[in-house]
Amino acid sequence: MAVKHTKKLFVKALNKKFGKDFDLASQKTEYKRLGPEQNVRKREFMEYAKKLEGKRGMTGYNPYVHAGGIPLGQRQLVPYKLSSTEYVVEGDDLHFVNNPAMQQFWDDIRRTIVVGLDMAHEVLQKRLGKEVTPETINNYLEILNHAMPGAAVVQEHMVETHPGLVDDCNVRVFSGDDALADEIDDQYKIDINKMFPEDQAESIKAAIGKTTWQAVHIPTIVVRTCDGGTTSRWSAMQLSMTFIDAYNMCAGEAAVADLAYAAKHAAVLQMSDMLPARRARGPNNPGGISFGYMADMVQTSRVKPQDPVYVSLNVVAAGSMFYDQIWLGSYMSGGVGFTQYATAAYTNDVLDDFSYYGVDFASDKFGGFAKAPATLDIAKELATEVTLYGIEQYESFPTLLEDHFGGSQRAAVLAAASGITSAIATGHSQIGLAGWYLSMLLHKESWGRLGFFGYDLQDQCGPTNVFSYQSDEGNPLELRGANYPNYAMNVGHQGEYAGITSAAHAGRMDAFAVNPLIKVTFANPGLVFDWTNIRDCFGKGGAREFRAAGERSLVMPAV
Amino acid sequence: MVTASDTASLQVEITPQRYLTPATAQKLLNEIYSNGGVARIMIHGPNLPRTIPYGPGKGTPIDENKDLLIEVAGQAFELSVKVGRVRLELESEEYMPGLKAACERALPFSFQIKRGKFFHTRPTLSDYAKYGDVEDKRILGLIDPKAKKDKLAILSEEKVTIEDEER
Amino acid sequence: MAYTPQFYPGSTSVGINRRKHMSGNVEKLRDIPEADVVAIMGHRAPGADYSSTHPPLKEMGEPDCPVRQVVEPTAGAAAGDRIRYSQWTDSMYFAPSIPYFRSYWGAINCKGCDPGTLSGRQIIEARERDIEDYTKTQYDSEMTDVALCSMRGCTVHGHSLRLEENGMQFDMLARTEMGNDGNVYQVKDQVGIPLDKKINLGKPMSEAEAKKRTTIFRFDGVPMGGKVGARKFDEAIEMTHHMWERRSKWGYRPE
Repeated sequence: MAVKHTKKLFVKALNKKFGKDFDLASQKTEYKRLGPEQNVRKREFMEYAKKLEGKRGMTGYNPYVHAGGIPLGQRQLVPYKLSSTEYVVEGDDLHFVNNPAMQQFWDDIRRTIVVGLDMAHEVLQKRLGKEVTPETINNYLEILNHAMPGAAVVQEHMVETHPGLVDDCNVRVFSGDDALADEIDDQYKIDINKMFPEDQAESIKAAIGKTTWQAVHIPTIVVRTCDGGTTSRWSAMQLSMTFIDAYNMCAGEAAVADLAYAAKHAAVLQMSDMLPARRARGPNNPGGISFGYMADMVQTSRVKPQDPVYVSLNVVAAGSMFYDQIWLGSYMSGGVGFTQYATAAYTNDVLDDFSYYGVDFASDKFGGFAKAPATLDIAKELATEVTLYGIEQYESFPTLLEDHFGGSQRAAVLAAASGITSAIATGHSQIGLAGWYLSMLLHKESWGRLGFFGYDLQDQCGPTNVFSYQSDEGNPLELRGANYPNYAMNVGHQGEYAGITSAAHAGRMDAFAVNPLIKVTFANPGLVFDWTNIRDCFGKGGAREFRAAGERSLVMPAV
Repeated sequence: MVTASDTASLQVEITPQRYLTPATAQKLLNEIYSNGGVARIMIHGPNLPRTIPYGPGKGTPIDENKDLLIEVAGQAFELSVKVGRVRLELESEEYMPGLKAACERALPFSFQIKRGKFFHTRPTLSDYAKYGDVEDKRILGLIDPKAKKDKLAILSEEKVTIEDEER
Repeated sequence: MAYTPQFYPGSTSVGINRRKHMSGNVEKLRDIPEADVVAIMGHRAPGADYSSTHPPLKEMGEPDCPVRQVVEPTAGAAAGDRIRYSQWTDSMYFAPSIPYFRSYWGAINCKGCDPGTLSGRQIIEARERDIEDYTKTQYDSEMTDVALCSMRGCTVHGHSLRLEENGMQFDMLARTEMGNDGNVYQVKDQVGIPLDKKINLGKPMSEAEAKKRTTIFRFDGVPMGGKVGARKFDEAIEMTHHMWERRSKWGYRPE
């Protein structure tokens, strides 16, 4: 339609900018470059922006909008809603470099070590003939919580860490022995009976047995200056010094070596496994964290066990952020990173929708969770249904297809929903994994496309390894991790595998996926990240509502 | 009787079946504006770079993406995105029927109107980095965090009806 | 050969078209002049000499290798051309071709070609004169619709976006445009550098024709698995199930 623009509207601007009359009459809708309309408000913007520029060292822009105007903005990226939360943030807010909650998530893992207490007690009792009672243990824990942040307990003339910098450091004890646990001072224990629902508590205590463990979390600032390899060593130093103090030992007597050995090696549970030389990082590195451990670290299973989908989706969020954005996106590469491969799995309720659809379908058919037989046929039926459903959603809602504009994003979401559904329905993680792979293959046949170049390498050879137990091929999904041979290279998989692992156990209402010690350790209220609600906490981080630990402003001049 | 839902503001997203040409975008936005009751409005779509961003032709001007000047409610501004979605906040429910009719007049193909919450209310890290402490909360969610200064247009508050425009 | 390749299962139009693409028995719909194809590819000016990475094989002399003796080098290899590429973006809204099937077509029908498959783009790399040949074949055939498929060497965004008002696939760099005569014109090469002259690619397919010739399964075209609540599996699903099941069981080896 022909639109004739009047000179009244444009000519002033033109003359201002170009100093001559432009002829705008045209039979077609044709737009010539006329330059921005100069007005008072825009000048104000620019002046204000310049003021902020100097202050923040980056180009600022503060549109001071007069009450009388209707603002109209243009965007190429829509904001992201953290799934199942009220938080809406920009994509940049979910880059781990910008998001303090995400950083604290990884800091909390890296600064954690689990150290058994029984071995040390044996040494004290058998080798030194000392009495170990609840009273001595409580005394020990009081001293330990003083020492662990970096305070002296044995020697004079020691310099110490500033308490204000290390107040996130704490050690709490837990035990499968209720009688002993009852005697421990509340402030120094993770009370399994309080933190977990009754049936889960019983199950955990039975698994742990009458053993006692310390959940040690050294200061965040320390692992930010050093690395994860520091954790077990820092911890062992202070544990040893505390034993010496609490049990009136001679500093450096021979028995101290046994305590140190127990604290550093024999009774220690690292968060991650070693990596081969070419990927090598120190202990407590991200690449060696198994999917089962990731599932156990996330605490949603103890606060909302009745909703296994919700539990699994929180693990997917944790895993995707951690493995895709931090491990592969930074340790193994860097720069802009892989944020949007991960956010597809934890924003805008897409994966939620597909997963709930699948689990409702399975639940109706089989009468609940973990009721379907753990067979390939079940994986076939469920993964097919969920994948076809998800594909139909992408086809029916063009904006959904545009929000997940990349094939890898869609592949990860469709397969995760299929895997989670299969795992919850059967209570079996290998069936979940088989469902994941089928989804990838069906997706490829449907649209003739899948992910980025090489995305599906692991998905094409994956099915052969699901049930194989030959070394370098098979493993229960709980024990696989980021460095499982075919998984090591590509984003858009690892976090979802962790989610499938957790789904199997959530479907069975299990208290833990693979290691009860990890499960209880991360129930420690002394951790800074909110391990019960991953997506909510990421949202807080993006909304500038999260205070991370390890802040150094105390020891630096004010801005 | 006036109920809370009659007077509460609501947010909607309009998704046409196709991406809009500048002329159609202008028509739609003017129809929406003429219907009245708009508190704020955001148009979304893929970026229209003015030069080739990367590759062997990097830096070459893209003339097709220049001079995309449209005029809405008396304000002229350059389109920097291909309009695919329009999100807006209406002052109250009473403007909804008119909004649907406005879309029907402006768009020669089908469209979806969805209600929801499309503008965030809590300033995020990006908002703080860009604006400092946000004064006018209407700005939240309206522009990309990395937008340059001329991506915000201010439409006149005085209603401009179709009859007023000289054609 | 005693055996006739089956290529792909399925009796719907999608299955039939997928077999066409893979076998190379595709209909020719247009004839884009060779010089225009070369211009769009953007690797050399039409009529210019080919750059080389090595002298012609006959001049170089080849090692005594039985494989080399059995395999005839392609024209490009024999001449010592550099490896160049053509990259396509196909819209999910009923483009005739889809990435994996472009790759299959290349791998099955084109000697000396290296296909790469992603979701938003598909690339074939080959010796320069060979890839020019293959590109022209693709351009001329029903594998390509001029509105829904385009050659994009970079800035490929668009396969998952709604179409423009005129039915074209969105292109940030505006490499093609719809003329007033209803023809699609290529105005820039595949990396966005403006051409000396516009190239008339012809009229796009109608929506009905695109749906008839497409190889993509879609719920609003030919669905692969029926609809929610009314599942009907195409043979493609049965084939995939079969393959996946065998792969999974083989790794287990219960015996």
